[in-house]
Amino acid sequence: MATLTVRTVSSVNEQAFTDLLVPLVQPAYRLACAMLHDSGAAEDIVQDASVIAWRKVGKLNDQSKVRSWFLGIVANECRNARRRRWLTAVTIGLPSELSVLSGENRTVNGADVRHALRQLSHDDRLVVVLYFYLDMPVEEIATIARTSVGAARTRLYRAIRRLRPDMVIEEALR
Amino acid sequence: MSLRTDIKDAIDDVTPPALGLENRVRAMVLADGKERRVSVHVGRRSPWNIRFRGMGALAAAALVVVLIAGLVIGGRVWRDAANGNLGQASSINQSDLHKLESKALVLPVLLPGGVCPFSPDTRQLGMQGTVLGDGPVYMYDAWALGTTVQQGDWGAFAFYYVAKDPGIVLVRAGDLATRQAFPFAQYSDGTTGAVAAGPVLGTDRLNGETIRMHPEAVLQDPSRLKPLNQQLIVMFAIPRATLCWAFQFDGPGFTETIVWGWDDAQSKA
Repeated sequence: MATLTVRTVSSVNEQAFTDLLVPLVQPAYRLACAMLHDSGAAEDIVQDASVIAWRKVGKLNDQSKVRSWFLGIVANECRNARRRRWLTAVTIGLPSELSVLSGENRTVNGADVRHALRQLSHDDRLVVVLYFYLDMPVEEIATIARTSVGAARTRLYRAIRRLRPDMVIEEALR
Repeated sequence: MSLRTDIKDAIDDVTPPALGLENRVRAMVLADGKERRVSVHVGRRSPWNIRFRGMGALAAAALVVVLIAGLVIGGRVWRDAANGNLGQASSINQSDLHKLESKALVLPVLLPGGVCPFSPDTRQLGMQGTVLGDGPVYMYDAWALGTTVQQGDWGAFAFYYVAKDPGIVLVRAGDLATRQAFPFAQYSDGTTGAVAAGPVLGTDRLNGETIRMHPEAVLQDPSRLKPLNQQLIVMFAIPRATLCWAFQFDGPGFTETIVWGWDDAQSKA
């Protein structure tokens, strides 16, 4: 990851800032996709979040926390987008007749998992995505979700119980 | 497979590579930085410059407002005339409508404390993303239009109707917990082949505009619509306390129900 050559982040220029941000773009995009299940909206979110981050970079005091800080902005933008957009599907050419998408088992399972994820609240889904999809530690998840470590862990356990009621928590966490 | 693998596979399925996103992010930040520097530079002007600049800005703003108002009003009249929206409501066959209205609105039962029986994502119509409904009506998009004190959240809902037989489709909706029916209004922010129907129940103010509320909406027979109007977008208000509701579609030879809502008040907020 790029490092800033200045002591405080508040005096960073655009070039140094983007050098710092670029390695975080793909994780941010994956987070937004996981939250919204809409790749187009996810790209928009990442771009908007980048400009917001740039404008607020003076508030970032600790450069080592740039990842959790930026992903926190992305998560917040996803929450706002979800408030505006309740549901969306992207057409792949106008349907002239009814056609069912692939019946392959993996796709069906994937659809089931995505449906289950969509049933979770924003906050619960966020911790699930950060923990299982982006492989982040609970401490960093708590920072991104702007909550305590204990509360983040509670959300994670609650979400696991909703996703897999029959699974032992320790087994699910692996 | 582990839960972790299941989640990764499921999300990867809807996460195509975002090629060039880093470059776009870099360009946006650089452009924003330049814009802010320019605005700071422009701010260092003499008081006279500021005074004339202020008057000029006011005049320009007034001109823009007049132009926009003219375009909006003119555009709506043109659009309505071109697409026949002015005559849509009256073009509905009232006899067909009354027949459909005679069918009872039967909402699924939601017991106190029960889980909302959301319709599953059927992923039909060759679309990428959530598609609700088993057909012939499918819901594929929904977005917020604004919130009012009187009614709650107004939303727009987009449907595809794969018609097998000619005829209109009646749309009604209601809260599964309170059994309260929702008011519909005419969606006007774009072309639509759906029409708010039935008697006017009252009015509401949404985003500075007065809208008339009706008890139902009608999806026009697709075969009778011009191509531009084949989007079927209905607009209705969801009371603030509502978390779980259903649409009922009654059309030629079918009745279909789609259940949708929020999982909790927080995610609705």
